Amino acid sequence: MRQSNRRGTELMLLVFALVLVVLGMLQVGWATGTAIPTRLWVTMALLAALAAGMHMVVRLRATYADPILLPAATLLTGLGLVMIYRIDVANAQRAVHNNITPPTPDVYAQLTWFAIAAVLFVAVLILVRDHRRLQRYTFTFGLIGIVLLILPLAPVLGHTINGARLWVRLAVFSFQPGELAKIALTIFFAGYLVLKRDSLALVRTRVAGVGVPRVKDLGPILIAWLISLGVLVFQNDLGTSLLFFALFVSMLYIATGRRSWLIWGAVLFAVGSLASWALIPHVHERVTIWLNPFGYAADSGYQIVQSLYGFANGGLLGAGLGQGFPTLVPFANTDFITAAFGEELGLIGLMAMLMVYAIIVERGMRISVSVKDSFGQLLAAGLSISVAIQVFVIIGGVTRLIPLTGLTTPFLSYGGSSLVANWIIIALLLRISDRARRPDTQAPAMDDAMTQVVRRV
Amino acid sequence: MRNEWIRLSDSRKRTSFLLAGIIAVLSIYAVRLIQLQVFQGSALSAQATHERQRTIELPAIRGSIVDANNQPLAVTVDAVNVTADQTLITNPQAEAQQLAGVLGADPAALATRLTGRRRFIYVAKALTPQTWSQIATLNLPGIVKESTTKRVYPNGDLAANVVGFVGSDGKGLGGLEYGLQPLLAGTNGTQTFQRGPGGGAIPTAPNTKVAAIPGSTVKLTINSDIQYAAQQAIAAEVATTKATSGTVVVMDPTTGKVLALATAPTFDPNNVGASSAGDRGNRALSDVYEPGSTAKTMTAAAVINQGLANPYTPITIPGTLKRGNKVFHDDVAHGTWHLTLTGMMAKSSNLGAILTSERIGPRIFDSYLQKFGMGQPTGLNFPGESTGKLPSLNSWSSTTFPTLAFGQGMNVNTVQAASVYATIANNGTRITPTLVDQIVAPDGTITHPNTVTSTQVVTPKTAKTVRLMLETVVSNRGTAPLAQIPGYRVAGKTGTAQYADPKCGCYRGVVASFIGMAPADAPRLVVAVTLVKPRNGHFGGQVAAPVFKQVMISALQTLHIPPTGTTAPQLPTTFGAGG
Repeated sequence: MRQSNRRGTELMLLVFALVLVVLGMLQVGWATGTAIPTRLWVTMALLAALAAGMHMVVRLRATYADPILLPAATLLTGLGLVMIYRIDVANAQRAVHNNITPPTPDVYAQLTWFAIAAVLFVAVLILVRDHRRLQRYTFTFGLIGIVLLILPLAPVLGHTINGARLWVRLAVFSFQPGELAKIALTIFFAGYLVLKRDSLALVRTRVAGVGVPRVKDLGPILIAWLISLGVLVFQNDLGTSLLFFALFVSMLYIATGRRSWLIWGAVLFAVGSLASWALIPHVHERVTIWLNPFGYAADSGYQIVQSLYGFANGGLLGAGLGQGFPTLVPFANTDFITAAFGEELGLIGLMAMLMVYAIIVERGMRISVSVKDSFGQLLAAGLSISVAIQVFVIIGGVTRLIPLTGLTTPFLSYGGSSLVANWIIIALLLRISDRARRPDTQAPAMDDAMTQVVRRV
Repeated sequence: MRNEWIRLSDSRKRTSFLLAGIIAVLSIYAVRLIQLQVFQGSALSAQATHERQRTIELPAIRGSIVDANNQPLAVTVDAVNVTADQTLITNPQAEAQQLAGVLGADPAALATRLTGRRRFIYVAKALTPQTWSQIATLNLPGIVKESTTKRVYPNGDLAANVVGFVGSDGKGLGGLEYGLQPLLAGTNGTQTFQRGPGGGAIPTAPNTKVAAIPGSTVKLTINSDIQYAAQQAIAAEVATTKATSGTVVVMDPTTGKVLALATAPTFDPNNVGASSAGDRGNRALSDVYEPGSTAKTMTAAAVINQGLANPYTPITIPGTLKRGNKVFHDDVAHGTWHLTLTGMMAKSSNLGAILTSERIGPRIFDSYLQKFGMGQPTGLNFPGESTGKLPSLNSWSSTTFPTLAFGQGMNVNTVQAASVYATIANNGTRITPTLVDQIVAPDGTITHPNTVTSTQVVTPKTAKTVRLMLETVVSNRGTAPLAQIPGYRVAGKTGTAQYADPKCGCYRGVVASFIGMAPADAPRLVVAVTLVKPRNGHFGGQVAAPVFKQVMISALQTLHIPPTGTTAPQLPTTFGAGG
């Protein structure tokens, strides 16, 4: 039985994504009356070249991988470049109007980060020949994850930007290690849960229909909860904290099948939320603004109110690329890039982009379902869920569905750490899907893998 | 093995369950976006536009004030305020040193203004664009310019008391700058724009602009050259005579135009703060005094015009005269004088004036005073103008009429006094004085703000007769030979009145004055000179007449007025036994 590897489909979709990006760039130029600089043409050419390079590596090293993920992620990255360029243009126009020096454009820096992301993407596909190898380093990844997470708190390296201590600065180069910690911890969770799920699934007693786990089995969830709270308290990062906890609880549920874990997770989340609302001024303020943003429209609620105005100004069809006022929202090209898209592409454009995220998550979940080993299954599900949670937290925040937290929008936002981390996630998902769909290699029996690990422990 | 597979298929179900959960959450997001972008969209976006909208005022350029020959007296020029963003200044000491070099200011004081965390502070205000370009070449970080305008008086104190001055906000605070504020200021425009973060306009958003309408140009009747001569002459005389103040009015009697309105001491409107408040007004209009002998011209003119006297009419004047409960004297004690009406004027006899006025009686006398403009507004509408005071007829006591006959008991300002002589000069027709000739709107439309009215006060024959009598005042037989101008016929009258000092409410010192005209047979100019409380010299003919002469010569030359070439007839001043 020879299964089609669907690499042709991937290439076609990739070309389609790149054409959309080029058209977007041209529209920004036409709508704002600015000539497309040569440097931007080079940027578009490099984007295409990098995408083509990644496609070639997938063709050679992950022949049977999912054909949708790479084009979908490329489309989002490209659209991110379009909006970052559009905001650069607006900032430059404002600078000229106010007779000040225009700020350095961000689009070229973002392209550089994409190049780094592409290199790491290729490195992952080449170095990680089989995702099950990662399982061997479960605890190593756990340690790496924790170290990365607390690195910004280190005295010399750590760096606070906009009130959150999430950055590590080396010379001129700053990085959010939390983004990579997300991946390392997902690998750790997957490996750990494969080992422990039997005991975690045990239920001794039931209270009102909800299973109460043994106290010693409560350990992992409590530790995850405490780490999340620690991130919140010490780094002032509500978004990352929420992401880790939700990710862990979801993976715990998939691994054990016990709904009680979801309920216990929800209870702990509620307790943690209430406690931090009551005790942490930063969180309290966020909630206050969330409940009544227009009451603080001039100061602390300015961002969210401007964001809502942006969405509203976009309406159903959007103002059109280059024709809105996206720079009225502070951090327009990072946290609030969705508001910029909402304003210029409208409901229709934003819905289409949400569908691209939905496709990425759905493909990831499908990979999880189709892969034969438990580790791969958990890892694929965890990585996909982490993308979904991140999208939900940030878009929920900027649309005032939930309190605003500082998370980047995967692939779209300006910022290297997030872009690199999300591309590594795509590489890992492609690697797992290649394993799942590969027809001719014999997958080692599940029990072998399991027993190996058990023996190691 | 079997268990494992069952459980794995279970975990697949759970993954699908979670995926369904994710899709459900995504649907909530979709609903939220539809709510936000479609249902609330237009209302929210209208609110956004409303909040971003800002309207700023575009200041109108203030109109200029120019003299009769369009010489600028007050103009608005571009200026630059220098501001600093202290947070951008790393080395305040060094920057202060460099700035001090250009501004000529104290480096230490500048350094304190440049040090700190303030994003905006003024370093220097209202500099010329040239000074700014010197600063700009220094390329100092954090030093920014702010464009503004500045009111400049290019000739300093020239006509300062007429033109007035503005305050630091550019609004008129004195003189015509104050009086014509609405005309000069124009109408500010507005600019409505959408405001982005940091306060700047959003370049791509709609921007509506209502242009400012500049102020009108005010053209005065003042002639700068005559004004200059008048200011120089009065300032010098005030200094020489140690008077508290002095005033000169130059008028064209044929048109009522005021050609000069000088006072001393004066002030520099470019530096108002350095002057005392009392010097910033216009004494020619604001200060009133009892005219004294200069008012005898009205008495003589009234009686002649009524046909009850002529220049030769003999008047026998005793040493004293009792009217009501009061005994009146002349300035000098004398026995009985036998003077003609001309002689009464030449000698400026108070008792003679009383006797003359009694020929027409109080009622007619009062009507003439009113027609000459006593106690009436000049019509100049100048800020701070005083109309003077003429007691109303029904309040007159038994001593009022005789007192008024020689010019005490009422008060006038110098322009009102000059206007009496302008009436005589203009063949008996009184033309209301004007100071503002034209108001030129920005679109070029010209309006004349003052309504010029002319009133026939006395007949031309009377006026001519009075002028002949006034010429004898300037002759060697009169009180003001110092007012003679070689080659020109000059007519005029001295005044040395007791000064009713408003500070003590008593008579203290004198007001010495001389009002005259030239050429006497066809007058083109009237010059009135007043000195308040001269301490070095006392009589009008002594201290005021020389100023008259100096200003009149200058005005005649400036306006190229030739002598008439005639000679004054010698009217007799005495009769019979003579005195």
